[in-house]
Amino acid sequence: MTNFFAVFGLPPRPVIDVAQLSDLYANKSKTAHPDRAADSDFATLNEAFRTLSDPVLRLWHLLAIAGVEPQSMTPGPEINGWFGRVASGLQRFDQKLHPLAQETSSLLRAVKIREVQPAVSELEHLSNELTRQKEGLLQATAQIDARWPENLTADRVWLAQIACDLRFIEKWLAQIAERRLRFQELL
Amino acid sequence: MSQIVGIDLGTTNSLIGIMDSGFPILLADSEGFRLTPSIVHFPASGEPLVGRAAGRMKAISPDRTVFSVKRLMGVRPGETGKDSFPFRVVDAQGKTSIVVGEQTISPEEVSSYILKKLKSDAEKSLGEPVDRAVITVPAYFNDLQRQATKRAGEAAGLTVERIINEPTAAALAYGLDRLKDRSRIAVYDLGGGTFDISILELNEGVFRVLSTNGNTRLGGDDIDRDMVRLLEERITARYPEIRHELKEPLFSARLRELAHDTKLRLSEENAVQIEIPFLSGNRRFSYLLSRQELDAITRSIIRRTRSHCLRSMDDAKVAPRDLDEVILVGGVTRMPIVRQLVAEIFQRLPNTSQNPDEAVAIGATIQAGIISGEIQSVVLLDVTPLSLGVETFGGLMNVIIPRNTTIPCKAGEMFTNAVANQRSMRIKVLQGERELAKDNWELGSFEIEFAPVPKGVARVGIQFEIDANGILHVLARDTSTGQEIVLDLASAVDVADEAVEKMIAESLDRAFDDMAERVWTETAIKSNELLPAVKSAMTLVGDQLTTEDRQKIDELVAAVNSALESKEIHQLKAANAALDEGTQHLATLLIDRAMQEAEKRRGG
Repeated sequence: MTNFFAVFGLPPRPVIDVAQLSDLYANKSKTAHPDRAADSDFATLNEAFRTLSDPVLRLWHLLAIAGVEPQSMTPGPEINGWFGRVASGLQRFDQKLHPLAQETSSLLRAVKIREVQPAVSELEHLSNELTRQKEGLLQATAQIDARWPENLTADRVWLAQIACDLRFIEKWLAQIAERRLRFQELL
Repeated sequence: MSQIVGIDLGTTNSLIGIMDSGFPILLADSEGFRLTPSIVHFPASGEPLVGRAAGRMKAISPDRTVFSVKRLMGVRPGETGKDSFPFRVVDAQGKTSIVVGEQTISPEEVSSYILKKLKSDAEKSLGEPVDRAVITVPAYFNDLQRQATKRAGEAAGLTVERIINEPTAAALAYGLDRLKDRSRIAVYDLGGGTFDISILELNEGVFRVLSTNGNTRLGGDDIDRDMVRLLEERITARYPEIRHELKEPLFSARLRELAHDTKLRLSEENAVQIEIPFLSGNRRFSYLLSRQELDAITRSIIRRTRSHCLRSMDDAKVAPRDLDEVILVGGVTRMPIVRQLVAEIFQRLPNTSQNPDEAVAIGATIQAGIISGEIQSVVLLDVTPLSLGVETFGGLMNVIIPRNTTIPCKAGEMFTNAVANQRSMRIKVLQGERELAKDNWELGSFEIEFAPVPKGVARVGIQFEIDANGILHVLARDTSTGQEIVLDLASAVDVADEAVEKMIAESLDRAFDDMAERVWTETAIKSNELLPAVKSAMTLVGDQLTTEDRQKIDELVAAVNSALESKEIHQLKAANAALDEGTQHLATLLIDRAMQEAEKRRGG
């Protein structure tokens, strides 16, 4: 499998400087784009940039090139508690949003917007808590990065658990973000 | 090799340009016009007419004059939504086709006539052959719409060097003399038939699209259509006896022309006196259409662009304050109300430095210059607008290439046989953002055959490649036999548009025939929902209105009550609409109040 870190000449580690990556990508694009070079592998460069720019994707890739598979891990105990809370919060919101989405009269829409507000606030609250969890996990990642690569084998196991948990959190944040957008579209 | 031209093949107008000493310039036809109307007239005998000459035939021979054909490119029969054309659109062996007289012709062929005229005008202007071109498409065009455009170019005798997205082209036009800049811009492109929003990052000559969104069935044509409906209602109210006359093709065509021209005038003037002397008998119809009335029509159409803008910014992970400019493209953006809405969404005044009709063609010409090597300092990184994936067990969509991935790109996925000795596997290729496969759009499906092997041993690799044109190439490879199949994407796809269902539901109660009772009941239900809502809203936030406004609303409420008693449907509908329109400010206050209550909840 392609080592995306190597594509940019970067050492594989959990944390990288994204601004520097962006400039590297822009510079390489100038010569590697198909409008410039007939047979460069621009698609791989794009994939590498997309993967390394995102902290969670980067983590999964780092582990993948080391042969570790976070998907075989089970979510941590804190994560388990979230399944139910997110599911019911989303359901409550969806139930209130549906009549609002159907409404065409401005005033009736305004009335329904008021009615859906509490569900919106609840989702915001959930989103904030999840974001705090995510930040905590990213901080743990940074701590591992600080001692990288001294403790490689053990740290890879830690990172795998973090990667697994982060994927769930991201999925929930995305689901909540989707609801937020749908609500904003109706304002 | 000949030079490459840049072509904007628009819904309403088309343009062609070429690089001249390092600058993109647009070419004019023999009459000196840079814009060629995208209209083709097919006379009973002789060559088709293209452009202004064809435009003059629109109101004379509407069934033989094809316009806005872009709306039909790459679209499945039955997926034309609310569009209704005065020329015949039919399903010919599963393909959308147009019938003029004895001929059945495809949308690509019609487009190729437009491209042929542009090509020949350019050749006259330059004195040399033109056979290579860059052609633009809406960013939100799907795979089949892009392929149809490419075919149209080839049918016109052009080698299509690149298909490029319209908002990206406009960004090139904007940024060509700002190559030292680092900035983030949004391009809001509202044309005759399509809407696109793109967010780009300009970084010292590298134009990178961060995200794109849009609607291929939303544009100025929809405003024209609603204007026509308004005029029909007014004429019917005045002369109910000629109601059916209004639907005759010649009358419709003339009314549409009138509506379109009035719309253009209302960008400059505050009111336009509409005269219709061509009613039967000695009937005359005269109506003063104000910009306000047009705004009410326009608002409900362009409000739909807001959600696309929000999604695009969300995907690009930018907030309005992170943007440096919003560029307007497309003739419709000349309307003051559109500029107002854009300013509201992006919280800044839009940049109107680019000619909204010409920016896209200039951009296409610049891209031509990039490909030919004449422009060295610019690189364009565009994206695919829709997520691509396959259906998996359980009916879910497995995304293989997410939307807004920079192109060209490729990604692969491995599939295996679920049971021992499975003979074949059917793989559905999908495009869209929904979780369930059935809610997305099927680009095509194909079957792979396996040798009989134990479960999990057969391996089929699917490779998706999206090239620089945004066109998909799919390969499936059975790793044990090495058998490779190129997927033939035979089914056409229309881009996800939840509004289509709503439109169909709305269009039902527009019918002129006898649904009187059902319509009355629906309208009265609406009144009975609206009245108490107004009452309670007035109690909550009515004190924030002026005495005048409160009085006005009281009058409108009284009008609804009396219309309910009159049992006259047109009166009730009008009263509901007036109360709706008249309580917009009240609605805003109510929403503000709701937001304040939410803030308090957050703080406490």
